Amino acid sequence: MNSPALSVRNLLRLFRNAAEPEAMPVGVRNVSLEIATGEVVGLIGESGCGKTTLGRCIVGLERPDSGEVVVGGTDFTALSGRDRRAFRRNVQVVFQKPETSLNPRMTVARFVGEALANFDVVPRGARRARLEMLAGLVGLNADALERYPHQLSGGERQRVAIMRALASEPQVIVLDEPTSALDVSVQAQVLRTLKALQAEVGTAMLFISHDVAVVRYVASRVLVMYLGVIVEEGPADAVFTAPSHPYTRALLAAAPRLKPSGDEAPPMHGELDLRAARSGECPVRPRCPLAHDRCREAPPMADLGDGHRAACWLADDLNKQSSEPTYREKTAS
Amino acid sequence: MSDPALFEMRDLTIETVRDGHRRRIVEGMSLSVRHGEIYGLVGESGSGKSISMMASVGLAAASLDITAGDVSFAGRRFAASDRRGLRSNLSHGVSLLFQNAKGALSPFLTTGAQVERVLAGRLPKSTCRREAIELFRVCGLNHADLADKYPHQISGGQAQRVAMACALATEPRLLIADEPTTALDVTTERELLRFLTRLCRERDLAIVLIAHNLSLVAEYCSGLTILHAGQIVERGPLASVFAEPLHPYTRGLIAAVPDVDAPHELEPLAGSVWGGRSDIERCRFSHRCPFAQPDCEAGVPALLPRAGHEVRCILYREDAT
Repeated sequence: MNSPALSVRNLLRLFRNAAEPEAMPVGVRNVSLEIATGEVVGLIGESGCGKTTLGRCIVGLERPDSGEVVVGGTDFTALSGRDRRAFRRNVQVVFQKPETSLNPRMTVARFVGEALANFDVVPRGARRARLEMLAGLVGLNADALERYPHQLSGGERQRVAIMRALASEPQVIVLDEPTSALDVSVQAQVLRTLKALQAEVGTAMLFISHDVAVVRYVASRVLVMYLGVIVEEGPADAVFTAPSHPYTRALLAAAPRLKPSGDEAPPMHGELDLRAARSGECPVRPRCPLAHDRCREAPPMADLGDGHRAACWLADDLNKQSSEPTYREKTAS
Repeated sequence: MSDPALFEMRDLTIETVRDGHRRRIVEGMSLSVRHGEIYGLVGESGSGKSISMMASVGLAAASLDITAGDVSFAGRRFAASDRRGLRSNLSHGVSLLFQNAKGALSPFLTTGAQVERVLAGRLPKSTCRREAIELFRVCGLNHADLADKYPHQISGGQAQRVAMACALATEPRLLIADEPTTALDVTTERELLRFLTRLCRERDLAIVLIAHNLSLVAEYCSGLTILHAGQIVERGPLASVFAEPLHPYTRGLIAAVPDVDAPHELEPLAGSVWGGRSDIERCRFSHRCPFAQPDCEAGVPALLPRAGHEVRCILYREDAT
């Protein structure tokens, strides 16, 4: 892998609930990840797992408590003032609801043109041509440029949000649930556009979603997050066909399917309960169907080869081929 | 069918005037649900699925004209335009469950108080508490933990279960669930749907599950109706529709769903639900259909019995090649 477009190191950002001092704080706990140029990485997990916080830290909407966000060799978190503002050009974001992220009083051309002007991406005279080029990239007709958001459909609005993110020629785009508010048919259009962009522009993307099928479609690599930590990561094919963390398995098994798979991975118990979690142990333990004594201690990140890693004692066993019951034997019983 | 339907909607037609044009937003909608079954109603946003179900319990907006149809539930029949009559069904065995549970609950009442308030409609006050505790238990909630909390203090999954407890408090025979899991995580979604399935079995409760996601319906329903722009395009037993989807719209919806197990290229549907001409009687999918021909706009095609279910498409006419 050549030098990554984005590299996050030991990122920490926690939110404490003053009303419940006993409960585990939510947020991101010492997460590290890398995304290469031209790579789409999917980030999946339930609500409250910290995936949005991680995304917001990467694009600078949230200041991490500690850790680094390095984009193209520069640590974004160390910048402030004018430098930080200028640097935002390199990291862009697309939110879930284009209704709230577009300006209702600006036409598409003005809205996206502002991003071009702000970062002085192209000379003034070339802006119109660039707008048309960008519209073409995201599959919008040139006449949509003169429209206001309310004159566009939901899918078109989301294309405008993607177009604006692309305008500053960023090295990294964070997409936070970009298709969750769309109908399946419109979602399919937007996902296809994203895939085509990938081939054409090659910007690194972090695709945050709770929909595992969508992530499977767009991402080449996947991170699974739970309570602020990455519990499993690896190439999409490996994680989806051979999930090694009980949480990943439960998450995949719970996804609705047109053809029910019959694979009944043991489900997680209940919901994420911040009062049940304890720091220092495996975060999944209170809900894990396979939890046992060792889980009182934070598990090691077992390396399953080819970049596939899972933070689970049982995956670690499997890896070492020890005499103890392996993960697969345990789940089979 | 020997078992008479619990709920039957016949020929419901709803019109509205927009920009000076009269538009039929639901056209000849029929739906029949048997005791204890989960029936799926599927379509994109704007296809008319929620509106027809809300109209069936008298909750359609006053600005909508209900021009035809009738609804019978548990032996009582009302004209679809009789909003007041239909609303009486809500206290006689029909309950509703919505997408946004926190929005459906009052922010000013504790969860326990909301459930008890619904119960007070049919029980003496002295027994409401006891019954509320029982309903919390049925819905998998701990009354001691949650009854004193306000909706903002509980999770989305818990809120949906409290809304469920409210819905069950009227002892319904039919539950209309309008995208009940869209706001929930997949794990919570699965739990809730399994819970609903169990309720159907144990209490002989029937459910109309409104969804835009075919894969949800695939796992839990026994039959389904697919709506497009207010028209039924295909309906029948689930197994038959999924084994042999006939309508181009149904096929399009299926091809647009990403598959976790076997990723495939997505084939998005062209156009939007309400595009195309609204001044003529036609197949309302014709403007998006890859197989459209002049005859598609020569009138509304009939629902034809084919392959064990029904489809509204001229490709399946007797004389079609």
